[in-house]
Amino acid sequence: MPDSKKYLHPEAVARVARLDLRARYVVEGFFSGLHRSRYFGRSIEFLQHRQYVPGDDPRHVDWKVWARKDRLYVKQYEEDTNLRCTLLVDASRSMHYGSGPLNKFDYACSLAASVAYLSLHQHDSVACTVFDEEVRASLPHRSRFAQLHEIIKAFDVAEPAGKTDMHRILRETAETLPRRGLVVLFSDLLAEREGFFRGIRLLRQRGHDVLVFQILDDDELDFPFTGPVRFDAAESTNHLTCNPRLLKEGYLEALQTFLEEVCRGCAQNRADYQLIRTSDPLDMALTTMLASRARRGRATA
Amino acid sequence: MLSFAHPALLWGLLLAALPVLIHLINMLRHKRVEWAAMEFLLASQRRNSRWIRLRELLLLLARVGLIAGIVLLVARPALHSAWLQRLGDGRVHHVILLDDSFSMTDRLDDRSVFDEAVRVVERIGQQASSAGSSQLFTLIRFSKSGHGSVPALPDLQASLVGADFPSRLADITTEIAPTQLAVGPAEALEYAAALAEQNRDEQLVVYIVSDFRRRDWDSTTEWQETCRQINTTGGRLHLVRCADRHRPNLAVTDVSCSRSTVAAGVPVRFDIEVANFSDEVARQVPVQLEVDGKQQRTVVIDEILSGQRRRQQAELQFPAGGSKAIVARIDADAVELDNVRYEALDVPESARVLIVDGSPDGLDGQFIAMALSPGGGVRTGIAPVVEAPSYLATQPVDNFAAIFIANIDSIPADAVAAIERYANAGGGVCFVLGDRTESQFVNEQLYRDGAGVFPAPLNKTADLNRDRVEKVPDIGESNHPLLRAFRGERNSFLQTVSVGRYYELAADRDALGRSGVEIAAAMRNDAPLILDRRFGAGRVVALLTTAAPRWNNWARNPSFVVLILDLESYLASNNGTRQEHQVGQPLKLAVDEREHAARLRVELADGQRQTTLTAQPAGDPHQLVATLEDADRVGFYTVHANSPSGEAETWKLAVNVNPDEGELQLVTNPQLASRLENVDYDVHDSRDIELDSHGMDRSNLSTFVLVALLLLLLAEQALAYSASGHSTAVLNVPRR
Repeated sequence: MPDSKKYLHPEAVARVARLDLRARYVVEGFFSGLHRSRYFGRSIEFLQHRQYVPGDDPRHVDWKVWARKDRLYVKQYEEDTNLRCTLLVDASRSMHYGSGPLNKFDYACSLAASVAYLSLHQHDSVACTVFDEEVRASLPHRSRFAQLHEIIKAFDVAEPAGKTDMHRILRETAETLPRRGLVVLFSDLLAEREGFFRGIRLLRQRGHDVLVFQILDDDELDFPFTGPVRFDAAESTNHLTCNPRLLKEGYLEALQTFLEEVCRGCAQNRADYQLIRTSDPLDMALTTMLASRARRGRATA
Repeated sequence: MLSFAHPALLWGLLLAALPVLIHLINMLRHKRVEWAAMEFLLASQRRNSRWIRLRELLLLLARVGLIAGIVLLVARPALHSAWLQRLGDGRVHHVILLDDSFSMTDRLDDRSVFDEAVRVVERIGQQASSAGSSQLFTLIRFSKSGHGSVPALPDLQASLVGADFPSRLADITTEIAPTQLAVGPAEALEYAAALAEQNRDEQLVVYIVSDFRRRDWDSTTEWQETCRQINTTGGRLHLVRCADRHRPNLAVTDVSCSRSTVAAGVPVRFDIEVANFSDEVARQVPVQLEVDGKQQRTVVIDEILSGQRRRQQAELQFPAGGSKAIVARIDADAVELDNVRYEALDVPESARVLIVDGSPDGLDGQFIAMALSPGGGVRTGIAPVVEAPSYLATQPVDNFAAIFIANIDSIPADAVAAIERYANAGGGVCFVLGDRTESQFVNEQLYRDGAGVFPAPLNKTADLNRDRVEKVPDIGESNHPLLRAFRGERNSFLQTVSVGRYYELAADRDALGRSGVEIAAAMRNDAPLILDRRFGAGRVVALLTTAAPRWNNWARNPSFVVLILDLESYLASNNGTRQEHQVGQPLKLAVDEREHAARLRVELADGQRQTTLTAQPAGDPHQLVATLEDADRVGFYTVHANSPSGEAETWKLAVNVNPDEGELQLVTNPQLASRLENVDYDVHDSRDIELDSHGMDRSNLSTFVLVALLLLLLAEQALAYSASGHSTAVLNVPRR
C-alpha cells in the first residue's frame, strides 16, 4: 500500500486546492467542464455569474441580468468540459540527485501528485507516464479520484535509473494521445536538448497544451562544492576529479546558457516553462506556475 | 660551486616533497559525487583546464620552492663561483687578529686558551683553502701589530690561499706562542682598519680570536670607532671567544723594598702585594721569597678578598752586598706567568751618605755622622762620608743614598746644579741650617722663587723664648713620617728637646702649602722647624736649626739619633734609581760616563742570549743611555759594564709582566654589545666556528635566498588566492 503522504503533502495540497488548473488552449474532453470544449451543450448546470471580460463567449452573457443591472455577466456552469491531463515524470538516473530532504525525482513526483490531485479534484481525467529512456509505467486517463492512488503507487515503485530519451517519450506521448489535452512534463531536462525541443514541438503541433517543470537541485544551480571532488556522471561513464571552486564560474556560465536555451526553446514552441529548485516549497512552485498560466490564459482567450 | 655551512640540514630538502605529497593525499581523499549536470562541468573543465593546470603546477612549485628555500636558508649557502664573486663581493680577505697576550696561557681542560685560538686559526685556514682560490689570508698577532713608529709584523700578509695553504699555516702556527705581554686588540684593529681602507675592492672578514677578558674591552672608545671604520669599508667583524669561563687566579703584583736603609747585614723590609682576581676569597696564601735562586722565607697572607689586593711586609737580610735577584712566588693557578714577581736590588756593603759640612769646627757633620753610624756593636748599614762644600762641585754624588748639607754659607753654581740634578733624579737631600747660613744666598741661589732645590725662602734668625711657666714642649707632635716614631708614649724624648734659635721663613703657611711644602715639625710658637717638599723625583727636607747643639740641645737627646736615621731612610727611599720595567717595553740602561764605559753587555732573561749595546749621551751631562728594544721576557737582565779603569761591574734589572693581565674575568655579550654600540659584528664560540665561518668566508647567498623566498611567498599567496576560486559568480535564473 503506497503512502500517499510521501508524494502528496497535506499542507501543499491544502494550498493548491484553491487553484484552477486550466487549459490555455482548446482541449477535447469527455465531460463538460471548466475548459472550453470543441463539443457544445455538454454542461448545463448553472453555478454562478461572473463579470464579463473581453474574450468571453457572448452566448453565455446573461442578458436578463444586463437588463436589470446594466452590466454584463456571463453564466458559469458546474462543468464546462473535462481536461485530459497527462503527467510525464522523468525517472532517469540524473533525477536521483538531491542535496536536501527530497531528491529531484521525489520532488517531481510530489509536484506531479499535487497536479494530479488538483486535476482530479476538478473532475478532469489524469494519465501518468513514468519514463527514463523508455516508458517505465503508464496509467491511462481516468477522472476517478482513485486514479491518484494509482499514480502514487506508480511513483512509489519507480526508482531513478537509466538514461533519458526525451524525444522518444514525447513522440510516443504525442502519438498515443487521441485528443488534445494538457501535457505536464516533470524533468531536470539534463538530456539531449534538440530531441526535447522536437518532442515539445510535436506535442504542440498535435494541439496539446504543454507545461514543463524543470526541477534542479540547489547544488546544481549554486555549485557550492569545495575541496577536491570526484564527479561521476549519472547517465554516462564520464568522471572528473577537480577543485570545484576553480570550475564554478565556467560551470555556472554553461548552465546559464543551457537554461536560457531551454527557456527560449519552450517559448518558441509556446510551452509553459518553470524552473524549480528542490528547496522551493511545492505549493509555491505550483502557485507561481498556475497563476502565471491564468494570466496568460486570459490574455490568449 | 655551491656549498653549505650546515650540509647535514640539506636532508631537510626532503620536506620539499610535502606539498606534492599533500596534493596526492588530497586527490585520494576527494569526495565522490554522482553528478547529473556533468555536461556543464566538462565544458568548464575544457575551457579552463590549461590555465588551471598551469596555476596548480605553479602553486605546487612555489610551495616546493618555499620549503626548499627555507631549508637552504637554514643551511646557509655560499657560492664559490669566481666570476660570481667578482660580480658580487669580490675577493675574500680573511684577516685574523690573534690575541697572544699572556692571559691566553689560561688552561682549558687539556690545552691552553692559546692552543684553542691556534686551532681556530687553522680551521679558518682550512675552510678558506677549501673555499676556492680567490681567498686571501692575513694573520697578525696582537703583539706584532705595531704601535707608534714600530711597524706591524704580520705572520702572513694577504697570502693567496691555495690547496697547500693549511700546511703552510700549520708551519707558522707551530712557531708562534703566547707572549708575556699584556697587549690589547687596539693596534691589531687599527691594522685591520687600515687594511680595509686600502683594499676596498676586497670583502674583508676580520676575526678577532681572543679570550675577551673584561679589562681588554673596558675602554673601547677608540676601538669602537676603529670597528665602525672596518664596517664602513665593508669589512665584517667576527669575535671568536676561545676562553669558556673565568677561572680563579692570583697574581703577585708587587715586590719592592720598603722605606728602609738598604745595606748588607741589616734587615731590609720588602712590601709584597698579591691580587686576588677570583670571585672567591683567597685564604692563607703562601708567598715564597727567593734571593739569587735560593729560597729565603715564606710569607703567608691570611686573606685576600675577591677583586682586592693585599700588601704584606717581610724582612730579608743580605750577608754580603751586590746585585741581588729577589723573586716572590705563589702557588700555581690558572695563569702561571703572574705567579712570579722579580725584583733586582743593589745591596751595598753599606749605604753611603754624603754629609757636606760648612761649619768651621765640623760639629754639625760630626753629630750627623755619629747619629748615622754610632759605631761599636750597633750596625745601621750606613757609611757616612763627611766632605767640605767644594766636594759637590767636583765629585759625582749619584751613588750616595742621601745627602746632608749642613751649615754652609755659599757653594758654587756647579754644586747647586749637582744637588738639584741629584734630587731631581730621585735623590734625597737634607739642608741643615746654622750660623753660617746666609739667607740671601739661600733665597737667591737655592730657593730661586720656588724653582730651586730649597723648599722655602728664609727671612732671618729668630729666638724661641723659654717657656718656664707651662712647660710646653718646644717641638709639637706631628703625623709626618719623620716624627711619627715620637707620637704617643715615645714622645717623652722629644719633650725634652729645646730649641733656642731657628730661621724664620719669609713665607706664611698658606704660601708654603701652595708651593707643595709640608711642615713636618713645628714649634710651640707655630713657627715651622722641619720642611719637606718633593723636588722632581726626589725629596728635600730642611731643618731650620742646627744639627750641632748650638741653637738647640737636640743632638744631645736620644731622639736625635732616631730622627737622623729615619730622615736618612726617608730620603733614601725616594731615591729614583729603582725603576719598574715591564715586559715588552724598551729597557733603558743609564750609566755615568765617568764611572762606566759606553759599551754594555746584557745577558737576557732567558739566560741564553746576550747582546751588546753602546750607550749614547742622553741630555743629562755625564749620563749615557742604552736601550734594549726586545725585552720580551720576564726575569732578570744582567748588565755587564767596565769602569774607566777597566774594572768589571755587574748589576741586574728585573722585568715583570703587567699583573693586571691576570684579571681573567670575561666580558659578557651584553657588555660587548654596549661597548660596541653601532658596530656590526658577530660573536662566535671557538667550538662552533667551524660551522659559522662557512658563511663568513665566501659569497654568502643567504640574503639572496631570503629575498627570493619573500618574492616566492608573495607569488604563492597570489597564486593560492587565485587558485582558491574565490568566485562571486551567481546564476541568473531565466524567467518567462
